[in-house]
Amino acid sequence: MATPAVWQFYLRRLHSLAGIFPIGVFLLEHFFGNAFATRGPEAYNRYVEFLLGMPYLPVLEIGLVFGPLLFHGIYGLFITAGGDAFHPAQGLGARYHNVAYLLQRITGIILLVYISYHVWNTRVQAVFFGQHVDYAYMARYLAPTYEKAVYIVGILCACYHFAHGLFNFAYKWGLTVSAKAQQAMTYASLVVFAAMSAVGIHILFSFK
Amino acid sequence: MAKNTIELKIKRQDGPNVAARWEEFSIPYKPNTNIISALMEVRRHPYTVQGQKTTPPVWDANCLEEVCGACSMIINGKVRQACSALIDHLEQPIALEPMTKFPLVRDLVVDRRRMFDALKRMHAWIPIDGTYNLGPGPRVDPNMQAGAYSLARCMTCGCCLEVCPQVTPTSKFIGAAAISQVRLFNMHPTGKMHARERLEALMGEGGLQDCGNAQNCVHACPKEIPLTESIAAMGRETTAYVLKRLFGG
Ligand code: HEM
Ligand code: SF4
Repeated sequence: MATPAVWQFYLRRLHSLAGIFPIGVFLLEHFFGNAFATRGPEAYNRYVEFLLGMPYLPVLEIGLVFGPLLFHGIYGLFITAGGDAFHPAQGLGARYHNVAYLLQRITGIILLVYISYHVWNTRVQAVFFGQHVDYAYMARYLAPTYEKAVYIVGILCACYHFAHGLFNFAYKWGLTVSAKAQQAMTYASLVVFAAMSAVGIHILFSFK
Repeated sequence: MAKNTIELKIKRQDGPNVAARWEEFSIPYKPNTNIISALMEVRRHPYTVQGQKTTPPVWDANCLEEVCGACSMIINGKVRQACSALIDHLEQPIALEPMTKFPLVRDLVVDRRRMFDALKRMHAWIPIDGTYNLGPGPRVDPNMQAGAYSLARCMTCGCCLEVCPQVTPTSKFIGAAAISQVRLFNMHPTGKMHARERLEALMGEGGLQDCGNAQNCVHACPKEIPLTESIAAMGRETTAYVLKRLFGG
């Protein structure tokens, strides 16, 4: 028997895995680290120094953050194009997971734009244009209301996409098989969404 | 409020490459009519409400007891079997449309071949004939029988594909039905002998990986098959299979 091409299966699983590790783990670290902003400028600046002083920094940044994110994001666009994101749940009533299917794709596309913008202002400026990124810079940069609005949208999208992604991951890899387990995971993902959103927005308003 | 007519709106299309049109019909009311008998009445007297003569509408039907899956169509916006759709439970005028994920043949008839092709590719049967007598199969415990029975009710009707955002007229996704059938045949003690082939096929083009987790299928299935459990169960089986292939054991 001819073996059917299975590369799509592996690529899709790799995309799924990348969403959790390294991207999801990085997102958690990113929130946790930036939460030093809630402890004042000195604490935040110490954290920034620590990050910038990390050994193998370029390797880590490219290998564990930008590379996987680029792969996950671009392949995510292909996945989005392969389905009908606005598919109605014909006559089945309001179905949360049908809406979540759309949200996963919309938040993913917004994230692609938002993360590019965020990285441009906080990392590219530092690496290529010599901008010193510290608490004072962040506070100045995030001061305008429109900047806050952009970041609130970005944070909510990232939190929802990651939190619902946990459900997707558990479903796809077969961690949650019974309908009960899937239901519990759905609620758990919403709790993660709420908690991470609260932390993210708290951090945003800590830069003053 | 006693109604003495049944009002129908049928989406008509003479062939795959012709434009569709809506035609309205009004037929005498009879109690306990289902969509099939209403369509038969229209066929007997193919005049629209405007009094215009038209061609008799075409539909597919077979068992008339919701076990064959042939008469699936979209009735008042919901995909279901026409035989078990009773007029008395439907709001009028009743709109009838063909399913949209399959190539249209004519009027309400579509070609569900992609589903049968998928079952063939998935090796969704248990070979019992060999060059010699294989003997009786092993005994199966009642728990497993009950589980298998709930999966075996699938009639390849296509409702689960119709409501799936990942199934489009151009996508290759096999849909929930075939995935669930792999689970059924892989849990059977004799079927297990070909589990590997089925998993390989399931991981092929348009296979399990194309599921997008929208979970509409399980709510559309008229046979209440636990499709989302089947999809996750096959996710687990493929995960285990891949790990085994990578690391042995
Ligand atoms: C903050 C960055 C991101 C994180 C933490 C993240 C995380 C995740 C996780 C955990 C999943 C679930 C994996 C799975 O489906 O099994 C996922 C799925 C997905 N992501 Fe992302 N992602 C991020 C950025 C993006 C971007 C930029 C896109 C671009 C469009 C994207 C598109 C998608 C799509 C389409 C899916 C659904 C895949 C499917 O249904 O099979 N993601 N993401
Ligand atoms: S799984 Fe249910 S909805 Fe899908 S084809 Fe079988 S019977 Fe129809």
